[in-house]
Amino acid sequence: MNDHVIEASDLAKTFPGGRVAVHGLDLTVPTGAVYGLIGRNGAGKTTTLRMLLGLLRPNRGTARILGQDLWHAPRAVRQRVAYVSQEQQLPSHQCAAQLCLHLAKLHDRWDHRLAGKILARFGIPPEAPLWALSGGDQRKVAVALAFASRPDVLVLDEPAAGLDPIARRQLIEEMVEFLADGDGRTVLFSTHIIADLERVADQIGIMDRGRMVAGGSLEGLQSDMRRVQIIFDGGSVPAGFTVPGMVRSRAEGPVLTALVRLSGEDPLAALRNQPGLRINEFPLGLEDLFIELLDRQPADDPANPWWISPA
Amino acid sequence: MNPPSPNPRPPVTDASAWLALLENEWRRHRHALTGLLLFWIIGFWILLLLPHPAFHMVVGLLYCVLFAGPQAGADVMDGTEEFSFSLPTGRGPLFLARMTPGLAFILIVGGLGGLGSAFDLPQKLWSLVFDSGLTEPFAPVRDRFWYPLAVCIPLAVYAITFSLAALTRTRGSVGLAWLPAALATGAIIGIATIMENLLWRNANTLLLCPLLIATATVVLVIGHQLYLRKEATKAGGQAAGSSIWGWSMVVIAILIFVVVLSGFFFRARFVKEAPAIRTQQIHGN
Amino acid sequence: MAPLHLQIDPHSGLPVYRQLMDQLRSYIASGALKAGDQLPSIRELAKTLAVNPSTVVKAYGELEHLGVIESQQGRGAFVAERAPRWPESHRRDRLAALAGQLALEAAQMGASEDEILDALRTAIDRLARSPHSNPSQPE
Repeated sequence: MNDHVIEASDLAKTFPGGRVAVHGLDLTVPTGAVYGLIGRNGAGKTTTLRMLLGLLRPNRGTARILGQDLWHAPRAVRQRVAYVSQEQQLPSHQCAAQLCLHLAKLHDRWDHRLAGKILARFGIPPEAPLWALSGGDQRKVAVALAFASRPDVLVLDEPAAGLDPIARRQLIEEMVEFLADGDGRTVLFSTHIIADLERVADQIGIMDRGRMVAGGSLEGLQSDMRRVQIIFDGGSVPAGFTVPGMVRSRAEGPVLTALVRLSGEDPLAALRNQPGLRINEFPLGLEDLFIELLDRQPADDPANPWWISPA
Repeated sequence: MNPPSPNPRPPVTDASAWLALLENEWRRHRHALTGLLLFWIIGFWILLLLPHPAFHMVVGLLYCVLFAGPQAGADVMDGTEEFSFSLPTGRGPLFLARMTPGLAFILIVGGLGGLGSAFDLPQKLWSLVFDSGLTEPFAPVRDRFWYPLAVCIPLAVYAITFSLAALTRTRGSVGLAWLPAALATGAIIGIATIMENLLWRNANTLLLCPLLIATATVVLVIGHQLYLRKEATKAGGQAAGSSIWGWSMVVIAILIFVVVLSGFFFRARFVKEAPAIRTQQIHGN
Repeated sequence: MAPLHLQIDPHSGLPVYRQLMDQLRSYIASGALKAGDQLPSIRELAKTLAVNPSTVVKAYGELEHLGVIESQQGRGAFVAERAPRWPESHRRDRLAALAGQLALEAAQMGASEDEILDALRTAIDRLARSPHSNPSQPE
């Protein structure tokens, strides 16, 4: 079996009307990983996922799940991939029970009992027609259906959007159970909620304006990236001052705040002994990292974004 | 890799999955289908109201106008296209499963109805039950061309309506897809009739019916192929992009223009030759 | 098996598996988990804490590597019989790092050396008295 269960290479999509949603994106998800895709609204996360799933046709590049282009893959392969989309509408005239019965005939591995269990845990009455349920409840039904098909690959696009914190927690618990109950199961999900990512993700991809700007293992990013604060005694930051391994920085008065990637020996060693400045280092939570990376500064050139190579 | 499914069931194959889709379509539209079917049965077989084969054609066309569009474009209207396209079966079987009820309806209504009209079957069936002597055996309509047309015309309209509604990305086009279909079929009838008049001096549907069947087949095949390539429309509203509706209207407008133009051209010739033709026919019969 | 109160703070810069390891080690060091006690299964712990099972796998793996726990085939993970002993250098380094953090923050607050030592002693006492409390939280 291939090492990477999800692979996208040089994926690009331009919508009619000229809007470029995705520019040459590369994405790999190893088997058994939980990959979190984060980015601001409009970064192209949903478009990327839809291209991976064979819902949108890319203008360039390839997108494969389980080694196949899902657009042309046979049913036996497609049934191993489950998808819950952000804007998804389920057939509203049916109830959850009917949908389960219908989907059971399309999936080899459908598990009715699991479907019932998850619906009960979410508090969804299985006989209620979907049009009578709230948006959050409909999302829960979609999630239950996805888990009940016992896929090898689970793709979730902002699954927690519109869910209250308790339901979000239940969703995470279901995901954890899903991971624990099978071997080699892979999850790819996009989200805004960093706390959820920090709990379950082991691989991260940060997208901005259609490009992948940071990627790699969550642990690697967290351990390698630091916020470094240098306070200059002189009262202002010397012009053109750089910190080795610096990715981004901003200067306010005597304080230079920089996002620094540590690698190998301590790149700040030289600075620590320098007189006239004080150095503070702070570990970065993922949310801080996200904000540091994606908060746009006037000096940014949108055509040439910086890039952090995967750890 | 995965624990075995705890619920033993008959195994799912591609064929059984397709049947499941078909069953779902039937369950979804059964009220509409049975309603129209009942209307036809009552009107023709039971009450013997309208024995003329054109009735079957009208019922078939009613199906196209009322149900073909919403059936094909159900996903676009409800915003469920992402869901449907991410089902394991994929787009192809979905298209075919949705196409089948309408196709079957038109073939049954047109076919059985045509037979019934040709051989006065409703009265014969009733006479098995009782003989009231109230009605006379209905002489079958002499113009034989109505019988094949009862199937072929709705078939062509259905095929175009279905394909347009399935491929469109805008909600409004789904309900109105029958309009360009009707116009296109009208144009085909016009052109074929003119050509038949040229070839055989008589509109005998020898060219029209095969042409209609061929059109229906081609349109459905092309529609199926294009559907396989269709990008899923979003749930939120009308998707950006060119609408099939707009393009088909352009094509139909061109067709109508061609028909009208050729009509004028050939009418000039017919008017001159008409008296001679009629005399010939009277003597020939 | 004593009820384990493990707290995972996803926001701290510390990876989840490290937090798990540290907390389990403190449980074992404090005696709340004795030699031979069974640890929760990976699946169970992952579900309780709502974290990726592979994180628990990693934490248990590292702990096993350090000799703190041992896993018995088919039966689960247990606290190792021999007392968990960190190599001297590791203990020294770890303590130095923790002490450095404490000293820095205290200096930024302007605390005196006595205050720092006082706080340290109180925390040690508290941990000895009630092993399940979180010494970082005010009582």
